[in-house]
Amino acid sequence: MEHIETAVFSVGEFLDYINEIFSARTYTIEGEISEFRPHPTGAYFSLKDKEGEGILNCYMNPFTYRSLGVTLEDGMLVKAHGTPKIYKPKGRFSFVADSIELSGEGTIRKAYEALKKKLEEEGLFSRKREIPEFISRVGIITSKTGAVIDDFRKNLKSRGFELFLYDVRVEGAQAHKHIAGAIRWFNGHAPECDVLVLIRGGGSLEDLQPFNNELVAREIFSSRIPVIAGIGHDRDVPIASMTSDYMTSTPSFAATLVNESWKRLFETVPVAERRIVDGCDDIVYAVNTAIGAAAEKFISGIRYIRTQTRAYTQTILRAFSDTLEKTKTVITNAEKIVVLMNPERNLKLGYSIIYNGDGRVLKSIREIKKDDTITASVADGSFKARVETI
Amino acid sequence: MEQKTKKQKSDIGAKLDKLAEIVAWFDEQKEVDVERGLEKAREGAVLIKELKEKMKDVENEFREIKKDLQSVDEE
Repeated sequence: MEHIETAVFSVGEFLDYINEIFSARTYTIEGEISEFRPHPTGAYFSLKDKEGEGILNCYMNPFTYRSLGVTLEDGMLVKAHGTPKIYKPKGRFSFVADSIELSGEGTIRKAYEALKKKLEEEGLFSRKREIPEFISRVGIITSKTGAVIDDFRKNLKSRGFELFLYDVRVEGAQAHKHIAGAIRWFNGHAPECDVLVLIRGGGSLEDLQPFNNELVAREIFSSRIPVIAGIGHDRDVPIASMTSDYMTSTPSFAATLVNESWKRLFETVPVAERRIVDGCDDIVYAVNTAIGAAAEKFISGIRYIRTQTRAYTQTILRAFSDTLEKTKTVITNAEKIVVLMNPERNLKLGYSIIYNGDGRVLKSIREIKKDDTITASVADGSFKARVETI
Repeated sequence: MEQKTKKQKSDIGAKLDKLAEIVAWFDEQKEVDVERGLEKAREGAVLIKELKEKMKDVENEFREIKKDLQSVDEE
């Protein structure tokens, strides 16, 4: 291009040239919104100083406007961030805002209250899901720099947690987009987390604007994964906290809550352990007692068998001994009889047997008469005799 | 040993029975029959002698058994 001072531009060329210069950097303009007109092709409004005559026409494309998470209206003090531009077909100067932040306590509080009321009426604050037990994978949404993440990690107990950090801006005009994007990412991508933890240190209502943002609130509400909010605040509870399933006032409390998910285990296990040990002790004691009793029984059984065996042995021995004695007595008695009754012995002793004439043994005097012939047997023979007198 | 004992027992039993018969025979006699009486007395004497010997054996055996049983008891 020729030297700029001597160059001749067409209108279009000049406007393009100027727009190119404008687009080289961005500006932040603070002013009060007036003549706000939402339109399908974008949001049109003016920014003006509270005092003085300055008026700046502004435009925001519809997609950017929808992703603001803030409903703009006349009278709001805002900080618009963007670039100036001249609209070629009309030759109109305007400011194209790519983001807007509320400014001034009054505006911010008013917007906060309005959004709170709106979301409360919609029921976004009343749905609370249980924080799962035994959390293992934790999705953390916060800035990777600063004390907050360290504070959270320091307060986590050693439970084998897997931590996944999504680094976001937690302050400024773009922060709400980052936060909403992080929630969306955890819900749509691996890793499958048990819980999301949205944490930030304390700040004023102005600092916490990203956490009082409708877009963020709706993203939390649509999260499939339960959300714990640990956002420091003073008087006004952040809307993000109210929408979350569980809110705590600091990142360290959020860590405590994650730890608490293991509470039942740490309360139950020692009791169960004690019970098991006691139960085992009881079993061992019972088994020992049973073994002792069985051994005692066995020993007394053996003793009884021994005693009985001894008794039976003695009885048998005694009975057999008696039988022997009886048998001996029988034999002795029989011997006596046999000896006594042996005719030979009696004859030897001098006894004799007298027979009559018929050969019958004479046992009575009445069986003989005078002159009968009798035969007498003695030990060594026999002889005949005649009866002379009776 | 067991067989011997059984045999001995039955032997002793039979001899005792026989001896009892002889004793009974003497008891039943109403008249003296020297020859039969002598015969029975001799038969009885033999039986008594044999029985005495057998009893001695049995007694010895019993003593052994008793000793064995008592030693088991002491254990």
